[in-house]
Amino acid sequence: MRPGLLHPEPVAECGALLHGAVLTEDLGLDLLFEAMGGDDDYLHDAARATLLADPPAALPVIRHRQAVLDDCFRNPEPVMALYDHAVAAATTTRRSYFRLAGRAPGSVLYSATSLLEALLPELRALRDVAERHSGQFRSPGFRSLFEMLRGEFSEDYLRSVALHLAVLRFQDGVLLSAGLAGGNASGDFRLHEPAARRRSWPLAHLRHATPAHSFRIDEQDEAGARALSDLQGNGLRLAAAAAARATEQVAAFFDALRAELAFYVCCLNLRRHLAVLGAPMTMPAPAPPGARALRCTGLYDVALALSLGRRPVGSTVNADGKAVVIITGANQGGKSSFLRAVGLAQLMMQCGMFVGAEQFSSSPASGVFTHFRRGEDVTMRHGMLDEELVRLGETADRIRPGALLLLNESFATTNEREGSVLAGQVVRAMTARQIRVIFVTHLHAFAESLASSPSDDTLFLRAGRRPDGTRTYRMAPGPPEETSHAREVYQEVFPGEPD
Amino acid sequence: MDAPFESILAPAGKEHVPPADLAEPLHDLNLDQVIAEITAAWPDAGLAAWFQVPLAELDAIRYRQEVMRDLQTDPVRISIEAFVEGLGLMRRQLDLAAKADYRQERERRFLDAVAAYCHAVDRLGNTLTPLPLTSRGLQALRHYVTGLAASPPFALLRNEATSLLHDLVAIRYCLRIRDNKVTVLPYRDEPDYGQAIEAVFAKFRNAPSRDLHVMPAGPDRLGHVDAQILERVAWLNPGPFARLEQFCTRRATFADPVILRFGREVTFYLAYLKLIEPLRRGGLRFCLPRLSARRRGTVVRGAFDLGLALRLVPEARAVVTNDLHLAENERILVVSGPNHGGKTTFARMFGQLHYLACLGVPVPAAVARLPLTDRVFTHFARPEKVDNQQGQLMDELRRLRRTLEQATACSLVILNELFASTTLADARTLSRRVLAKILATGSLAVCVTFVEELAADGAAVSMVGIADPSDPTQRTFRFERRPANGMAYALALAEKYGVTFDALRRRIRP
Repeated sequence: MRPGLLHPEPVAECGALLHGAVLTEDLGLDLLFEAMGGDDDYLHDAARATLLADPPAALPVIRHRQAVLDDCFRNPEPVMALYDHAVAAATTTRRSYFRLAGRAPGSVLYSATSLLEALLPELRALRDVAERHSGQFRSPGFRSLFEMLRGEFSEDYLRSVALHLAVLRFQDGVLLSAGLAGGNASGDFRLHEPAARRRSWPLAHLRHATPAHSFRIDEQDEAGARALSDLQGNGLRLAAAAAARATEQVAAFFDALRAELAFYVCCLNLRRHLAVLGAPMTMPAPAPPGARALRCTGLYDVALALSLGRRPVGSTVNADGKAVVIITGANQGGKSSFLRAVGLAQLMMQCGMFVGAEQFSSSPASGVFTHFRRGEDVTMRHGMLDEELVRLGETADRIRPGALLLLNESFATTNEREGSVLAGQVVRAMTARQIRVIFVTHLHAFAESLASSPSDDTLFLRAGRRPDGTRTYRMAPGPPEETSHAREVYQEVFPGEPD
Repeated sequence: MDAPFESILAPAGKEHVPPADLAEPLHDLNLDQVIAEITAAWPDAGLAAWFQVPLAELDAIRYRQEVMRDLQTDPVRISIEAFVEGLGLMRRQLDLAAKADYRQERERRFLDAVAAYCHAVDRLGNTLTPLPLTSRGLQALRHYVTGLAASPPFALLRNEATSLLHDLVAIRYCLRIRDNKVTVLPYRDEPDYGQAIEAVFAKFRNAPSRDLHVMPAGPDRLGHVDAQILERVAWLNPGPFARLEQFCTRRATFADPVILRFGREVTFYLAYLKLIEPLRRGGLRFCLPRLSARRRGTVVRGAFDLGLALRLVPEARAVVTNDLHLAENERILVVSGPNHGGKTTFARMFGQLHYLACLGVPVPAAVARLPLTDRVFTHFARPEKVDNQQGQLMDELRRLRRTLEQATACSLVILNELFASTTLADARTLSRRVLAKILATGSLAVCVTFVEELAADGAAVSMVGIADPSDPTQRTFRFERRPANGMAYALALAEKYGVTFDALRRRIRP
């Protein structure tokens, strides 16, 4: 019994990315989680868990989620109603004693039936939503969920469960039958309906039931009370186990429903934020995994949009079939934002979300990895190369073929010659392992070495710059230039100094 | 069958000779540890006594070996083990009956004991009948058991017990429990509500189920709540309970004493087989030795120290085995070699083989042809008391004198690192004299020593611990018949640590 909205098939192991923290820092994911979760910790966690899940979702799952998300966009109110009921059920469960009940059948039965009774109305409410709105939902995910709710939790079934739960309170005492086991102790217990006794046995006989057939446990007799409770427990065991299983499963279902809907609620929140900014959003088109597709129209960095409070400039790039993309060009020309935008879009697409662009299509990657320059000051070189190389080594341990690696000014901590050699090694190794590389760099010798042996596999982009020096913040295809116009930046900061 | 079956441990009419004092040899050979391990696994059976009494007669030993041979086949062993288990069940019920507080509880336990006994006897007869038994002991037993099971008194006992048990078990009753009041009512075949609940929640069956506390099946002692219930159940079903009372009075003694004795004594075999089973699974071989009272030659192949193996095998460590042979006239074995190379273990192994052979059990070797020994004497060096070396030597010699007074031509004497507290020259002289005396008694002797000259003496057979040819510093724990030559090993060791003559000359600056 599973909601199947986020995970159409049961997922064996879904852990968190080991390098989730690095990705969060480099791609500015915290801003994203803020917008998705608001001040609700649960939603925050749901957003993080889904975006940074390991392994990433496969193509069928992405499509499944996109369809569900579509339904959520078109029917936000019923979806929120479902979510609210799931939250209410989770709260009820957390407050109940069922989770804490030990192993004594009597107490397990009591706490299980109490909780189940409290969860029945929420089940009914879910079914109501299904009955009223199922016609408006088109995705396979929601259709199966609604079908399950209507099929498994019909009114007749819920009523019969409620009746049995009432009987299981055993307000008038318990009726068991037993046989003689070792030493003539009572054994082989069976449970019977208390009413069965009264209905089938004429009243007259009851009056003749001699008092000698009954006895009482004295109030002070603790051992006797325990023995009686054990005896009763044995009789209740089957019923208690069945009730406990049912309650566990219903509670677990609500938990799962809440967790899966949380992600879509987060998407609804994000969509609202971006709509306010007038920023475009599109449902991406995942391409087949081996195709090395990557093309976008008007792609922008969502995190940047959220922090600027306005729609940033978008880029239009076609990197289809390219294993390596080298991005050079003026400082502060939007290269890092573009890099982040790609990483973000890839992550968002892979968990079934929309992306910040007018159009976006790429092949799913086995993982997204970043190797960004740490710290703002590029001139601090000593000791930091070690740090970079260690980080690169850690990445190498985790990265697998089919991944996407984003490098931002890597090896800037050493001189251009050394850095270029290192960069060459890294990029060649990655491509040999079928890992796509997008590299923002000032290492001219390195870029030149790639450009001079032309290959269909490599795309060169340049950060746009108008003749008067202003930045366009758009990436466009173009070979690497010798200068990175650092002098112009310098002039801006220290105007009036001689060249 | 000639004589009726009496004991599975010895042919009818044979008496055990009360044992000589074996505490020291058993300790020196580490057999006390082995026996302790056996008795720890089978605490109630009084097994230690039997393992401490080696047999002196060849026929008695063969009697036991025959039984061992039969028991080493699975169907026979399983049948006997099941019987012993059944008697164990009977004893447990009788114990609980003795401890019971309530009459009907006690009577029911007694009935269950009788039922267990009858079932065990029946099953033993049925399972043994089709099996091909070769031992005198088990053949006689089988004859006895089948006779017992077919006898009219036994049949009567079995039928009564079975029918009474059947009647009691058929009783069913209802309990209504409300607050602290319990009512016992006749059962009227009410529908099972537990199953109805399971059906309602059937759609949730796949959820992992919680582990619910179950009262142990049949508590050992009835509590007063159960007792009060039982009382009322008896009122509702007077017939069976009255018959139960009569049964217990009439059948106070029911078990056949010969069968009970068999149940106790056969555990001797089962316990030993259980002990060596893991070793066998680990690839070590045991055999029933060929013993002779007259010929004195010894052939042993693939032998090992049982105590050591019991320690090593659970840790998955290798057990080294050894071969040896002694011709008829070879009676002194001198074992020498490097320290910690397994000399003492080798000597122990030899002593164990002879001792265990006289118990009639499989010995730790693949092949063993041994002379029958009447007694094993051991002289292992006692821990040194630095301040009492003079006194220690005196003790050693006194004990040796006692041994020499008692040893016969059929005895085995094991000397381990004697005279370690004296000088080499004295040790050599004393050892030679002692060995000469032993030779005079005609016993078999194993002498583990660092005095290598003894190995070259006329009557002695020399066995030496051999070194690994590729690394002379490594122990192999293997021994071969060859002249003693400790020097080769010592030189290699010196080379390794740079203390040969040349190396020392280079290291020590003039």
